[in-house]
Amino acid sequence: MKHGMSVIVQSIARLMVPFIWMFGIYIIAHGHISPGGGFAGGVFLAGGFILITLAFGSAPDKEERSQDFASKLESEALLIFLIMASIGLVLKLGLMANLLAKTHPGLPGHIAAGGLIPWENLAIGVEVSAALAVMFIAFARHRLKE
Amino acid sequence: MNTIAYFLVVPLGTALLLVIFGRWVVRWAGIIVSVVFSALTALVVQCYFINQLPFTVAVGGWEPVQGIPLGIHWVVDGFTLLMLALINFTGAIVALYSISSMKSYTKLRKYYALLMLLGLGMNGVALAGDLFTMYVFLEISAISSYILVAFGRGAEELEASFKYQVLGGSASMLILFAIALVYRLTGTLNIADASRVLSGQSAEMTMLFTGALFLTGFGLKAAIMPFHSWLPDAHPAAPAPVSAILSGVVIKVLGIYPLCRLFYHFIGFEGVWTGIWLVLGAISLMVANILALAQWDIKRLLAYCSISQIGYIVIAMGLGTELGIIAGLFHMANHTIFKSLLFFNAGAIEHATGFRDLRKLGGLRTKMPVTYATSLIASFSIAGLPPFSGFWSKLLIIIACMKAGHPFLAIWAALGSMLTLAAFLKFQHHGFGGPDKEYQQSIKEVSFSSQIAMIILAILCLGMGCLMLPGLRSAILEPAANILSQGLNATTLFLGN
Repeated sequence: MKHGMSVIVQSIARLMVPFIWMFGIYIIAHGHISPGGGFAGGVFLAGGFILITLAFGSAPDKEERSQDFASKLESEALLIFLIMASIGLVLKLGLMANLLAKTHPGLPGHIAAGGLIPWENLAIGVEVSAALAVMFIAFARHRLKE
Repeated sequence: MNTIAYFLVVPLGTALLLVIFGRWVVRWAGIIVSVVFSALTALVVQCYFINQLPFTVAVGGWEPVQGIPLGIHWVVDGFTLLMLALINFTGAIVALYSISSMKSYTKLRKYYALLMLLGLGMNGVALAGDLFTMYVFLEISAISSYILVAFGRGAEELEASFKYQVLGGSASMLILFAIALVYRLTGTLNIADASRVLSGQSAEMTMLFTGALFLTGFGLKAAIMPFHSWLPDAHPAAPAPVSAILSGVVIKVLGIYPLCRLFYHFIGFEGVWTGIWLVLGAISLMVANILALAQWDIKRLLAYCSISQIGYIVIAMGLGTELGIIAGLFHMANHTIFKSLLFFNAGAIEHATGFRDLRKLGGLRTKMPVTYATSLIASFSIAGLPPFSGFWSKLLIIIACMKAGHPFLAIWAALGSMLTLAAFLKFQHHGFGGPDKEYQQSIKEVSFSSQIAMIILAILCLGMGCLMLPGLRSAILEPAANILSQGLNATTLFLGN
């Protein structure tokens, strides 16, 4: 996979990937007011990454490092989600209690609403995209060994 | 009541921290995991003392409206607490045993993280008050156990794990299908609420089908006899501590616990179900025991024996009487202790000699005195010799069968127990008895931490009989049996009123 694919594929990928990523970020950011959310948006982010790797190829020595990095990123994002979820637990309001919703309710239907939910969506988005990237790199590395 | 969430938050947090900082703490990971599981066990004990059982906890503060639950609810009753105690205690002991026995493996931080995730999944299954949450946590623990079975990455491990995944995946599919049917029928996923909605309807055929799906799906996870074929491969292939937790708690928490929960609190034991449970249990008990007798691989013998002990539990639970339920729960707790210990012994033998074929082993009793003594206690316990713990629970099961009007089943259970005794005499004779063999010059007893783990479990094998004493029985076994024997009426307790 060192050399990637043809020029046509590479040009199209270069054109498409910014839009794919932007759409992913849009889905994550609007997770609390429209269909979609952290998981769906995270899949788009990872999809852009996979498209780049397929089109341009990757060096085997880089792959191990990026797998480690993505694996760490995944755990860290999940840990941040867990911390946000357990703030309520520490304050004796129960697990996943939505604290900001009472103090900063925001405008219903507006992007700045929902209290902690958008931030939790963001953490899930990062977690899912990193997890899918880990899976993809693991398969790619396995293929290189053959 | 808020402390209940710690059973989920703490294992998940520990698993993530182990992955992130594992490189620096990997030498201490076994001790950390053991301490975390011990702390959770202490939390279970605290729950027994402080709270009025049963109670429910709404996640995120979404309280029920007019008795109709909106969000996710954790349900905590005597049965849940018993399972939580078994899960976390076994987790702690398994982590303690892993410290030295897993040294030869790589990626240990991932091993300990997966162990924590397995604990998280099982805690979640035990606590879940609705079907879908139960399913999600079931998948978390099932996927962790697939990876743990394949942890050695040899051909045998990968094949066993693949088989386990295929059968476990089909089981999950059946369970999900049944959950979808329940949701379509009742419009709710909360077990108690669904049970209440259902009590006003007549949907016998759908419930029969749903019950059959649940029985097949969870039966596959519990390895009840016609659905058992993955277990004799998966449990021997895993590393010894993993086999111990798989055989000790995973098959019970992912299989028997949801089955009991659903059949007692949702489907109800009317009609054909009692008969089906008793027949399945009787088949598992006898056939698995006969197959165990024919095995020469120690861990395979133990795996078949697990199926037969599951048979005892299924018979006891299927009787539906209060005594039967107490006996079943008691045997479940005892089996967790002695089967974990037996797998530790098998792991110790394999670690010391390098193989686990009984035909090649022999004369180990002088070289490995601690392993010999503890395995003798565990063997007597599983075979049901007095005064070891297995005797009391098997006696209770036999008495419960007689009282429920099934004398034939009682004789059947006693016969099965004799076969178990024969299988374990074979294990003792070929493993530890007989003349010394030449390979024995270099054999040493396993390390100190593993010995401690085995000795703790051996003491419990003797001590678990105390659960029969009136004070302990009314504190631990009776709340659990009570909530189940109330049957469908118990569900009103869980609706948060």
